[in-house]
Amino acid sequence: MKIERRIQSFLIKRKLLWLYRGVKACHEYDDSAKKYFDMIGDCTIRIRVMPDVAGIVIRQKNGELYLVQEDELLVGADLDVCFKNLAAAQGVLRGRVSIKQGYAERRFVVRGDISSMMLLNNIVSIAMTYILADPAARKAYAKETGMTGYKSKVVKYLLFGGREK
Amino acid sequence: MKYVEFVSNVKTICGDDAIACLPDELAKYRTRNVFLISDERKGAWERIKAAFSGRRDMKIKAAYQDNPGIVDDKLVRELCDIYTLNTCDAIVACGGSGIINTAKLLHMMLVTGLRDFEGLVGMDYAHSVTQIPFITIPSSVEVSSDATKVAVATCGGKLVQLVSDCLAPDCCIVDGILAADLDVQTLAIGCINVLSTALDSYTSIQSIALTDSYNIKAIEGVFRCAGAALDGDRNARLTIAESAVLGGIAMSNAMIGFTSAIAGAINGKESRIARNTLPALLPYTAEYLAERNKEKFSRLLFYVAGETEYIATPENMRAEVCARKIAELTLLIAERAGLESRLQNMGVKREDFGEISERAITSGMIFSVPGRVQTMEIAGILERAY
Repeated sequence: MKIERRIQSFLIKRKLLWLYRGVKACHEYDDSAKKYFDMIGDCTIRIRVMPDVAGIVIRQKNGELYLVQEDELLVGADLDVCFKNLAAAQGVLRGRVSIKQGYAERRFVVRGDISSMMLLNNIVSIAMTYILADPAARKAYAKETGMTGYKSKVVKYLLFGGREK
Repeated sequence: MKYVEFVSNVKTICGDDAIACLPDELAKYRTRNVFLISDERKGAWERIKAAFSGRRDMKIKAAYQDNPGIVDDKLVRELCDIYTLNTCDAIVACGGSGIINTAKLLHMMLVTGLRDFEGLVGMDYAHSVTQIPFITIPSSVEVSSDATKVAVATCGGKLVQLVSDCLAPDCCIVDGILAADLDVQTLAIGCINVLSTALDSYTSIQSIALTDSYNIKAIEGVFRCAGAALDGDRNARLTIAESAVLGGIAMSNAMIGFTSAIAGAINGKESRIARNTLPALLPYTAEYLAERNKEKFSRLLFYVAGETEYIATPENMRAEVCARKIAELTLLIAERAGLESRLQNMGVKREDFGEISERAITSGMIFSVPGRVQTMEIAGILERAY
């Protein structure tokens, strides 16, 4: 693999982990996100980038959310979101393309219940309003999710981490 | 530049007695043993058998005749076994959405080589490893069944949606005689279904110039021919059937949206679209969609009302007038076919509106609606349709 691509893959993996941190923070302290997680129920969600970039696996079990190593995933995830390529993932993870737009442009494929994908979109959209660096993109996501203000607890969790349960 | 993907690889044959060309179509794939899946419409079944009589190079080796309604994974696996046991090499499906959904899922299972149904559920995930000729003959006017790459089924008791290129047939035969035989109510629901799906897909975030052209033609077809089709005009009925195919191809690419999400939510846990509720919902959802997509609806007025009225209508009123025309046509079709056009007469309870709105807003179908949809907006539409 070329060095340039390796760097890109590394950065994407960092972005996915940052996204997980945002999702986890929202799961803990944002009521709307928690509501959507409750609707999904116990499940394993894998988000990855094709063809060779390792992704993240998030598991929700008994109301707890945690990161799972991909090697630990013995069977397929309940919801598997695969970005078709690096460029497709970068657009969405940087906030230049909304998740809905990414879906519309078929930038990713989904294995699993499409209704759960809709709920995941809502959760990730809420997380994006906190984790994105670009203020305009954050604003656009806030408008889409109908968020009225920042929750200080979520920001605090993002910056300093939280108490592990 | 915007990135787009559009797939339409279905050969469509429309016309009177189009079923007669079925064996010739299959011969192109060097088919010998056909697996026929059909519902219990006697006319269609016999005409297909007649088309094969006298053919020495191919025969109907196995057949399944039933009307399964919602397809479940068990049935598809059973059909898979029948297909393999009889060494069939092509699938022909003739019937309504239940039958064609069954055949689509069977085809998908066979071409992907996956027997695990859960592995097939999703969007654009499954890939085919082999090719099996697959021809559909829709016997009713239903956008979702004809030439689309979308299917619904129950998997382990849960209703799931599948979107994959493996679901699309190779050829879709729209037979004029089958369309002429339809009863008025089925045809009326079909017309309203085409209108609602085409409008959903026309206003979807996934709509592109290619899908727009298909959708506009589908809507124009219904506006032009619905009245005559209900009167029994054969050509008009064929045009409606063609419009359903057009709408289906567009819907495959741009997906369904707002109206379908509400109609699906009304059906409760079985989030299959309750087609009978469309006459009640469409007049109000069209108004809502027109408000949010003024430019697109303004352009649509040209096709639904004609050039003269389009020019005579002030620019800022065109979207509103277009929505009104759609509402008027929907109610006219419902009235002529004797369909209910109020939710209260369909057994929908007012106290369920909150639950229905919540379900609609979290359904997969709402994914294609641009912008943010709020539960109170859906509740408002339900209230008006009540």
